[in-house]
Amino acid sequence: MDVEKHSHTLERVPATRRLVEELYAHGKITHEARDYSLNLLCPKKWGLWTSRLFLTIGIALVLSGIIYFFAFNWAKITPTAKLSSIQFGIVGCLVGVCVYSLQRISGQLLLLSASILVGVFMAVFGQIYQTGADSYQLFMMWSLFTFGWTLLSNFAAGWAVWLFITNMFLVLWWEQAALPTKEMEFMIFTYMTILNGSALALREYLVVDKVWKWLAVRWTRVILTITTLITMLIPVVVLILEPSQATGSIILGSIIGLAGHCLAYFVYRYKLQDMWSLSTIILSGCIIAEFIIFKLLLGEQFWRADAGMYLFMGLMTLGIFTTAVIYLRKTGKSMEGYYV
Amino acid sequence: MSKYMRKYSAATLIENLADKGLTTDKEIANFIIAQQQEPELSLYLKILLGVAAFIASLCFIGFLSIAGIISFSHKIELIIWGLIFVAGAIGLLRIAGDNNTMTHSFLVQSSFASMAVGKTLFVFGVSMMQNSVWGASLALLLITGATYPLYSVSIDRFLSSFATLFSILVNILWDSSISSSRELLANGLFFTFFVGSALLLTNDKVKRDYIPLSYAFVFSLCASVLFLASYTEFGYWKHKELIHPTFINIVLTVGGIALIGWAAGGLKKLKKESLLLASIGTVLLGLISAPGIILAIGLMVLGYAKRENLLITSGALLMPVFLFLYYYNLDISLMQKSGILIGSGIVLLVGRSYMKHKGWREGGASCVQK
Repeated sequence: MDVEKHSHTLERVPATRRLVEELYAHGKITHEARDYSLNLLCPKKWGLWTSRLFLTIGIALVLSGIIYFFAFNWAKITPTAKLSSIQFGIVGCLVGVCVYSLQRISGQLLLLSASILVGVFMAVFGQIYQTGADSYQLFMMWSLFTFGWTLLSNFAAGWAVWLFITNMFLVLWWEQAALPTKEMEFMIFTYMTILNGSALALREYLVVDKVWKWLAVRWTRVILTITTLITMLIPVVVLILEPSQATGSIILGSIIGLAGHCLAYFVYRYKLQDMWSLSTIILSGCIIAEFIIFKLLLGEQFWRADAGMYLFMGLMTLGIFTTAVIYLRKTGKSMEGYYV
Repeated sequence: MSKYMRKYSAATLIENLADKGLTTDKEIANFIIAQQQEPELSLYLKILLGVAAFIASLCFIGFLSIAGIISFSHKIELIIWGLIFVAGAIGLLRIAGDNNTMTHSFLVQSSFASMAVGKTLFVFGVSMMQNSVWGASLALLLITGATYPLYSVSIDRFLSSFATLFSILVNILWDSSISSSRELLANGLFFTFFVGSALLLTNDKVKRDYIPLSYAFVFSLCASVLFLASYTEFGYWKHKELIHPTFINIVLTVGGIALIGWAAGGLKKLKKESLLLASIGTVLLGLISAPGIILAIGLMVLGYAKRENLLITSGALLMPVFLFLYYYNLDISLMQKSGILIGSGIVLLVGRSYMKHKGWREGGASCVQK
């Protein structure tokens, strides 16, 4: 076998599920060898996995059912019964947390359920007493009331829900209470970038320092990276398209957006080495480059280009993305084996 | 890499296989090294390729239209230009070869953009010729069937196959001329999607070339249940037609039991207590639950059995999207929907408690595929 001859090279090649499937597809290993390899690389723990699946989906469905039930606003149930049943649910969840403890997923999910029931309670309270409060106040109080529990929970999904509630508060507050002038209307993207970017930075810091290992789940990085990149990209694109109409908030948002892109690139290329995050940043960079080139070529005639311009833009698109693909393939090779 | 995945090198894997007497192939090391020279594109590169082709194809269609090379009022001209672009795309891919150079990447992207332009023009031409909503489906079926074996870019295979299946679904749900047989056709199409997905995803002998098609079937299944979560009554004005979810629930329930049997290594193993109870749980879900919930759980289980993270993610994303659309479905009241959701949740939580009681959580009920 040539294994000894190539052992140094093979040591650097990570054994992945895809590699095993390739070997099987090309007839290099038998079906039995494929199953053995896959079990070696990613052993199945059906009992534990199914138990967690049932618990997570079961609680999600019951909570959704409760939300649907109170949204129905059944007149036959008295306001006292409605409010006390939700309070009973919150207390029940908290008792469950004490019984199971926050070291176990069941305890963490019960604390998350209690956090969601707090929001349901406030919505039902507003429904019964017609307080006339703006919806941003509901999300603000919901975010404030549940922050302590989220901090204690040591649970990534709990933080994701809390961040969603806080983002909702920010957007609704901007629309309903802040009532920005035209000069300031794009500041919402800066605020959202700061909120989600700080959460991402904190996540990376705590994971690298191995302080909070439970945060290391990959999806937390994916969600935060995409959200932050979108909020950074929008002001930049608006500035490119309409530079003559750019307000102070658009310019500030664009500066923060571009600086954020550069910082994110540096972190995921050199410090934490993650190809998925890097490719998302590169994609965002390609979109910015596309808009710059289109704008430079067409000026104010952006929507009324002639045929030659369309052809040139098509070729430019291929050029920009080809460069990105080549760069990512080269970088991917040098980063093989890193899965932070 | 999944957090459940252990880190091994290719050298360690081969050593393990050799120790167990599972490989004697002397060329295995050379094969792995060759694979590293020409690896299949990662998913993130495929996404980048797709975005580039989409933007570039819009620019090229704009160029052809403004330059007067094509006219959207001449059907035959559109079809001919479409076929020329498709042929050009196949040629460009052949010329591109397999190396990892700038020219190769540029040619692959140009080829994919050319394919997108060609297929769009062809579909427009045939649709206009047919003068029917089914024209687009027919055109997509013809062009996808013709290019699938010839054009090996997996993202194109997936998108074309999905567009074909999706257009058939949309036509069946909204074509006013088939109102008398809509329910029958919709159920038949769902069954076809289900059988297609099951055959392609559970059969080890299916070639890798058909993976994009299998995902097109899975995504079409998801699209079907999401449409039915939004509406169960189709048609406009006073004429309403009901598509009852019973048949779909039956298909998903039977499929769920078959999936448990397949994951366990054979239907005979369903006699085992844990698997029998899982089957009963599936029947209970089928009786009280909604199609989107059963399909989402099924996709996650299938994904775990096949170790396909994309399937697990698809199932996990289907659930919240389904719940969101289901909330706004006006065919049943929020109270009924609440009952369905709470009932389904309780079935799962009871199942979980029973597993804990029997000690199956620690892997006692593990059922590795044989």
